[in-house]
Amino acid sequence: MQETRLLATLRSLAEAEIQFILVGGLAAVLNGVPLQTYDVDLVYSQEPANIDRLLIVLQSLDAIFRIQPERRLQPARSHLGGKGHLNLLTLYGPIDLLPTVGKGLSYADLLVHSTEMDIGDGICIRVLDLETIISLKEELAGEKDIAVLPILRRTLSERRARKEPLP
Amino acid sequence: MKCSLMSAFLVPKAMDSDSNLAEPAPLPDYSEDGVDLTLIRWMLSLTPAERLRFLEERINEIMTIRELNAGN
Repeated sequence: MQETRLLATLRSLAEAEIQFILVGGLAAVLNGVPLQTYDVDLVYSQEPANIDRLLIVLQSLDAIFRIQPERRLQPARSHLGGKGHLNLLTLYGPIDLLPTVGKGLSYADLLVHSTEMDIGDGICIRVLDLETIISLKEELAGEKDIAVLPILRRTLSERRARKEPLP
Repeated sequence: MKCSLMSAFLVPKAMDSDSNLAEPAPLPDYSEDGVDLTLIRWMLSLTPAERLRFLEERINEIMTIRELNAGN
């Protein structure tokens, strides 16, 4: 069986100094939301040097498009420089690469809404904050987004309650 | 990216003598909309690295069970 290796995926990206922000379900989990998720969603910088580095990492992870895995189509520089979401399958499991999220929010736009988190093994990554994850879900308002909003909001409330100074 | 931040630790303030006497009100288990708040509190007690490791282990356990039951 191919193991899903979330930490290995993130380590590969961090060690190659890829500029990215973790978003989606895994970002919610790292923010303390008790959810189950199977893929890695990230918004990446489309700076040419970052795309070059990302392409090398994707090749090392044997990344292919998930839509037709039997054709083993590999992402190219033109894909990474485009506007579409890239839903890929790698040696370490699924990964979704997003140039933007929501209403066109890019890596640069999201930086101020992200925090640096230590995920073990000396690796730190940028993770979208819970407030922004909730805003994006509210904006998308699809069935699956609406379904997780209560648990996202309650986690945020609990976190705020913990951070408030005791009377 | 190398780690430049240290995890913040929440240190509770020392309780004063009056508050030692009163039992704190129990926290609710569930929110009005049915969310298990005990699960959230438990997740928040973990570090991000521990949350990631727990999720990864759970996913792999589920994948193993699915594989054992393939075709069912």
